[in-house]
Order: sequence, then structure tokens, then C-alpha cells
Amino acid sequence: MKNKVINLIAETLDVDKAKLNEKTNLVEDLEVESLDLVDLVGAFEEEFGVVIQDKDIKGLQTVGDIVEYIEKHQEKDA
Amino acid sequence: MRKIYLAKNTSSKELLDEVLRLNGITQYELIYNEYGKPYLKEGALFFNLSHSGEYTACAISDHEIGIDIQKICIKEHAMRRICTPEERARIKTAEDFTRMWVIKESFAKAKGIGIGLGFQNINTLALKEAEVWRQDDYMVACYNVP
Repeated sequence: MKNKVINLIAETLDVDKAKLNEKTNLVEDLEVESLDLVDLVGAFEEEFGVVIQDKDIKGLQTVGDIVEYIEKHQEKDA
Repeated sequence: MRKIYLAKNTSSKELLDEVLRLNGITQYELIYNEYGKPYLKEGALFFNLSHSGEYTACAISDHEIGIDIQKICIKEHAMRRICTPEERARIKTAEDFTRMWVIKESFAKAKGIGIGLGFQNINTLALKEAEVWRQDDYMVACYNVP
């Protein structure tokens, strides 16, 4: 799951996936802005078949946060 | 009252410091609402900041205000997620998409809710109060809460 998330972030944001790990912070490390974040959320929803609530977006600060969220909601939505 | 400032290669803090200085405020403290929107503690005026690429934008007003600047682009996943069907039908170019985005973002920032608000619920076609314009390769929108 982690590798899939990293690959998707790298592809969507056009960054080198070698620079990404669980602790990578989207805003502080990758300088992701609002539109990029919304685009990334949309990509996650399409790839993993989950619904990410708007109110939860702010809590997705690191790659690890995203992995945890998707794993939790994939189980819930199954 | 509403004033808008754009600067290149300037941090948000530097621009805010300068804007407030130009408007008679040399010392200030910031407080934040539950969604992270900043306000002046003394409450002399409202402000909002935005940054994209080489540009930083700052808007000040005596009412709640939101501003957004975005380098012209098109983001497919974002478009599918946040646009109403009517908006999607009208987006033909990257400029159209970016215009739609900055209007939604400036509205949400003015309301102090930001990315937490369901952007699909913001119908830009009905939002007449937003001022929108192109600045070089960027779109800018400013929304004042009436």
C-alpha cells in the first residue's frame, strides 16, 4: 500500500519517488499547495476506490497519514 | 474598503508586513480560527494571503475577505472532484479551469473554512461577487463577504 501511495504521489506531483517516505510532509517537504492537494486527493479516491471527506483532508499531512487513512477506509468501505 | 497587493519573489510574511506597514500597522499579532485562517488580534482590518509560483497576493478589507492566485494549469483529478456538472461543461481551457478554481478558493478562504468546505457546493456560475482577472500566466480571484 505504501509503495502504491508513493508511486501515485510521485506521478501526480511529478516528483522523484526516491525522495518520498512515510514521514514526508506534503506541505513542508514537497511545498504542495491547495490545488495540488485537492488533485492528489482526487487521484487517491480514483485509484483506491475510497471517499475522502473534505473535513479529513487537512489531517493528511504526511505520506504515512495518507497510507493509514486509505487502509482504514478501504476496510470500512469494503 | 478593499485593497489588493501582488508581489513577485516575496514571502507571504514579507508581503503582509509591508502591506500592514503601508496601512499604518507596524506591530501586530496573529490569531487563528479553527480552520487555520489568520486574523489580526487587534482586529483593525481583515486580510488574506495566497501564493503560487513566483507570485504572492495579499488582500485587506474592513470585511471578511479571501484571495487566491494560481498559475494557469489544468488538474484532471481536481476537476472531477470539485466541479459541478455545469462548470465541467463550461471548462474548455486551462484558463477556464484555473478561473473556476481561484473563485472557489477565494470564496472558501473568505468564509474562513478553506479546503474543508465541499467545493462541489460552491457554484461559481452563481457567484457574482468575486472579482477575477488574469495576471501574466496566473489567475487571481478576490471575494469579499458582503
